[in-house]
Amino acid sequence: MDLLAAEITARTDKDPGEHYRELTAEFGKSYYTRIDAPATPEQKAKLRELSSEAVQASTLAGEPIKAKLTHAPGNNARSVA
Amino acid sequence: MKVVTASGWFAARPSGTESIYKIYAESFKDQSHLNAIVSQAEEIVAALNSSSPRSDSRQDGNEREGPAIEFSSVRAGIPRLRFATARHLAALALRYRRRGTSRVILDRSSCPSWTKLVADVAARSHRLRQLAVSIVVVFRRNGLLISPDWLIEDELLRASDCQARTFPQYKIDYSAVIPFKHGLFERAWANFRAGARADLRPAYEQFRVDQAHWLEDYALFRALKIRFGAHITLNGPQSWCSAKQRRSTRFDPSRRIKSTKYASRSFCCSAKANGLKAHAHRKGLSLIGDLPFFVFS
Repeated sequence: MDLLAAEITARTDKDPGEHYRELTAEFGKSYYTRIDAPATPEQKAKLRELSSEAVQASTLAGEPIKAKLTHAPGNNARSVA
Repeated sequence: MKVVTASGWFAARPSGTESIYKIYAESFKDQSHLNAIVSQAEEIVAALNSSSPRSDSRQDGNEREGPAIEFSSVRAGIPRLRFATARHLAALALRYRRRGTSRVILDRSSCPSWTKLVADVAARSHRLRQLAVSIVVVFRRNGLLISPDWLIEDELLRASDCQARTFPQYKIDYSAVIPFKHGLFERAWANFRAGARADLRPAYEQFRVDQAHWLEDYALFRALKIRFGAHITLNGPQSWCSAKQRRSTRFDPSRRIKSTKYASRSFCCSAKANGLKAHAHRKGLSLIGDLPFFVFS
């Protein structure tokens, strides 16, 4: 990751932060987070084996859900492993 | 699993290596939308798995204690940073509370304004949300905690003693401040021995008797530490110094008198800690324990 950032900076004369700012200027700012919560091995196994039908909700944060993916659309690989 | 809407998404997956699951979320709208996605994501995952630890803890109301967040380099002596620190700690406490963790450890062994810091953190976490956020503040029994202002208040120093030199306002030069403070303590101690504030002496003697189970060893350790520097280990009373070091001919037992000086610093710390407790109580905070303090807002 660090080497990639170094190469981006060397080849484009802009660091990844500047590229990111340009992208946010063009497409708008996004807000991202990641959280971790405790889970036992059994619970992890359940989550791994989920099917999209297991999600009953039809909206998320007030918007209709467009997709519930358990496999990557491109190559059908499990998206969560 | 990934769930997608027009302006946001979340993905949940079990960790491959740890006993946790992870939720990733992104909003193209704003922070509150992101928060809404995350909380609904947590509900969805909890509903999928009714025996998940989160839902358990919600049902029985028990607070799960997760890994504490530790801070050791917060230079909270500077007001600007103190406020930033307080805000940051309060936000972290809230965030970790949502994840079932609500313990923040703040090692403020060299923060001269910890009274204010504690009050700020408590006030902010209280204002942000009515949550029982607990913040554990660990104070070492470090003489450097003693503010020269206290020594002036206690008439063991004169204000002019502290004005001998000035320090930068926005930068702490520890290599300059530490010897300067030690010099002030020496002067205060000399004044005390010479009879200043003789009314404190009975309380001081009582403190030494009451706390003898750790204080004498600790004070001796401080004295030895000054004498032998890094050769003294820090693993606990039994290993503070080796028997050889205690017997060392270079360490004259009469030097033990020096240790009373360090006992006096612990006395001063203890008196101020009691003052902090009283201050916190007036602000509606309860402090559980002695040192370290467990602060609940």
